[in-house]
Amino acid sequence: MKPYILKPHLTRKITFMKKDDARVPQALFETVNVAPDLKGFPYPLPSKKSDYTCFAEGNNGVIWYGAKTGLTRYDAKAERPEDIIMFFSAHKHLDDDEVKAILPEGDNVWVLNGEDSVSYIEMIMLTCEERGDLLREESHKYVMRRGMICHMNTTEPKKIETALGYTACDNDGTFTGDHFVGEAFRYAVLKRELGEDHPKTIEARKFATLTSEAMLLLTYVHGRDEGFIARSYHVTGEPLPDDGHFYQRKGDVATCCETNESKKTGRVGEEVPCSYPIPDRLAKLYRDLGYTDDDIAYKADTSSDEVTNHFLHYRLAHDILGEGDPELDELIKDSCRRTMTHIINGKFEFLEHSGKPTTWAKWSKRYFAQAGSGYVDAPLNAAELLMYLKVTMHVTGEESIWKETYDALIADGYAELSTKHFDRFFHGAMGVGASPEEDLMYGDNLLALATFWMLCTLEEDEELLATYRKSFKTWSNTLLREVQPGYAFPMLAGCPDIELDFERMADWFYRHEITRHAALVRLERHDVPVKRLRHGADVDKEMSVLLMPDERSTEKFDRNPFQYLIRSDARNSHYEGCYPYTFAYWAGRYYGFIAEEGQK
Amino acid sequence: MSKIAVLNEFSIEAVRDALQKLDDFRKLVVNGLTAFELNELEKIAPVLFEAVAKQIENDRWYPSAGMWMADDSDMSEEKLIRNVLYSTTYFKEKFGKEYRVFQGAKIYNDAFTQVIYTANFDACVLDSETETYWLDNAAYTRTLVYSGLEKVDINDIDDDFIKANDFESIEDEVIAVYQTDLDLKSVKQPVYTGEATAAEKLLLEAEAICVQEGRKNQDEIQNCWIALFMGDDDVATSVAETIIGDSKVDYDFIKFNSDEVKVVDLKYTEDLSGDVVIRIKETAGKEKALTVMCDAIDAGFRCEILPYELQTFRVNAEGFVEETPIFE
Repeated sequence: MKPYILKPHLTRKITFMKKDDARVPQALFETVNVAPDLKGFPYPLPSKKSDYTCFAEGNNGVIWYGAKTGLTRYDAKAERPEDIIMFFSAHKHLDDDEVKAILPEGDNVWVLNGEDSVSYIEMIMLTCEERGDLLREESHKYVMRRGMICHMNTTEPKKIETALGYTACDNDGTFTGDHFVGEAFRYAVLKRELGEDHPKTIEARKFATLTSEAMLLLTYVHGRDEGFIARSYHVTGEPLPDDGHFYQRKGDVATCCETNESKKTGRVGEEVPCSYPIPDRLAKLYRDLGYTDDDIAYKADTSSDEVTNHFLHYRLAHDILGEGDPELDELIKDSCRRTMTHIINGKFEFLEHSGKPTTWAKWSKRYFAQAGSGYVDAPLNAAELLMYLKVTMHVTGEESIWKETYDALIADGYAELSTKHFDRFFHGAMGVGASPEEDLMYGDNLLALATFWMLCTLEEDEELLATYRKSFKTWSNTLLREVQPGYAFPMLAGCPDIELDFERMADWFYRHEITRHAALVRLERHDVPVKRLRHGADVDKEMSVLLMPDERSTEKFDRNPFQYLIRSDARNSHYEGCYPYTFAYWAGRYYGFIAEEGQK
Repeated sequence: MSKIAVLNEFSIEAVRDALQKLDDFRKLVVNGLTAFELNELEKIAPVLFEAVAKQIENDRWYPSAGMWMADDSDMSEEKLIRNVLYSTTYFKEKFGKEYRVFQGAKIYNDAFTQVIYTANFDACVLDSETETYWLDNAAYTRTLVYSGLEKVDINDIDDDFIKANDFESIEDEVIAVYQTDLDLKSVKQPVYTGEATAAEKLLLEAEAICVQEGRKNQDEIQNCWIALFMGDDDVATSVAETIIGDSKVDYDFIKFNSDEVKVVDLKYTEDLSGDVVIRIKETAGKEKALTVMCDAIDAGFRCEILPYELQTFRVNAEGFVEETPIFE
């Protein structure tokens, strides 16, 4: 197929200031407000018509309308329907929804809002690649910690330069794995297009490798000899969250720290050996910062989210980085073998050192037989296990026990079970009185994506491939309704016959901001209905329309992008990693689904 | 397997006999009586109705929730919706009950599955069906069609039979099955829409004119719909014509950016709050992004609609819009 050509597009850039800031033009305070006459206005407006109090014309006939409930930009000549009406609100774009005065300045606008706040909104022209580069820059500078990417809080709202430098993340392996996909594909594309020695390619390789090392470190950092994977790890000086099970390393023993959860499970003080060596190449991620192995507290109770993305990483890291970095490739193979062995030895369950399974990493028929979660999870988890084995065969180049186990699972009905997702999921949701979109664990979307993407691009047996594609499509309702190219492109790679609306994919890229500031926005909009879901309670409301990324909250992959969220100040001090954008963009470029205008 | 005791005959004698058996045997549970029949019973035999009501409240009598009264399995969306709406509202308001199993005839309208689903029924027991399966429609809604109940007529069974058997409600038996693991085939509902009758069209016009002219006649219109379910088209027509008078429907009252969408209904909400309901349907089998403009009530909004999907919007006095389940 020919790639969809992305063009440079206007992007929002917001600078927040107070009204006494020297940069604010005096003319902003001298404007005379006249309420616009909006009778017969041809498009739905985000604010109630009677709430608009002022308006002014900017470049090219663009009109800015200020309301008590936000700022509207109207571009009657906009090429893309989604750009005709744009909405700006607190806290992403304004400090306060009440617009007191507006002063256009070329394509940009000054907005006096609330008691003493001013937002300078610039509409800057960027390519989608440039947008991704700016997002990477923000994430690598402020969100990344020792190669891992999740999210980051700041000490001051809306000031990323006050980033804490540490964070509590329950799924470092999951989100760093997602980030790795974007970094690895970026490297592969730049290598293909610019050559291995181009400075951009060298920089891309550096970060793809760093992220890969951070992923691998999670598989060794615990020091256990049986192929475990840690959810995350902290070093001395970083506060441990009161959440889950942390083990503090000292010498050859790691001891379970006191948290609410470990008190509940009676694991406080539990000692676990940690003498398995951490490869020097990986340990340098913390040793180079002055920490020793005894400074590590790792998080256990690992879930299938983590495991699945580690296998996604093994496959892509081996394919993209392995050939040029044999040392890294050996670590990938070793880690992959150890993890797969752990799962097989655990009878298809991920085990704590005590021999008990972790809460959410079970691929056994024993688990599938459990009413409720086992019944609903079985189709996905069955496919995950097949994917792990397929990746292990691919990465190690070995068949042995991996092939034997894979074949036995196929004979045992695992592939066929994977086709039953939609029936069981819908049934499970209705059984608790919910609609599927309410009941979905949104992280499962990504797990399904990684699983079937890998299976559909590795399986050579025609019959099995057809089964995996059929199974992949049982997820299409929940995956494709998000119009997230990061879901759509890998799905298209796995199932070439699906139909995608590339115009909507392009809107997603065009309307992505250049920061991952996670402040919430005003969703009480006049132009978008709120949808009551089956449960009908406040928590179960969605926006009836999928808003453009710059008009909804900034979230990880594993959140419902339709969700009706109540604003809170806490989110003003929160930044997400860039991976949902970079994963999507570079996957699209890697597979040739998208290209930039003028790109050779 | 437990037996399902059903009241098949709607008569004073049959109801009285069922109540007597309920009094005599604590383990007995009776199923039957639609909202329409209960409403009639209240009018013609209030004391008997009170006795049935008590048994309903105590979960020993399970009425046939679903349709107010289905006289035909081929019906328009709006007739189907009103039928289910008035039935579910009746049981909720009269007895505080929200049943999860729809009982009645299979309706040949592609909105059937969506109507059942959004009315919060998990499953249905349809008169004509002999298989258990998932029923899907094009708008990604689904319901369980269950068959396999061992029904007996409450009026035909004697004391010995009652003593020898256990009894359960249709509601409990189907929900118990629903809670188990099910591997069933799924059946796609064919695309088909029943045509509104002349009387229905007049009623819909009357409702739209009420909104356009700010007249609130909701109680009167509801009675007309119920008369219409009972086959009394003349009453419905006469009242609708009186409401309409010399007025004309303004077909530009609601404007879309697509010709492949129709207004199914424009009316005030049933709760008499003064909010307006706009119900639309996609007609071309294509998912689309819509803009809906309705300046007269200060509403203008966007929505996304699936193939053949019905969507219902509630617009408040401020022009803010909520996408609601079909039932408004």
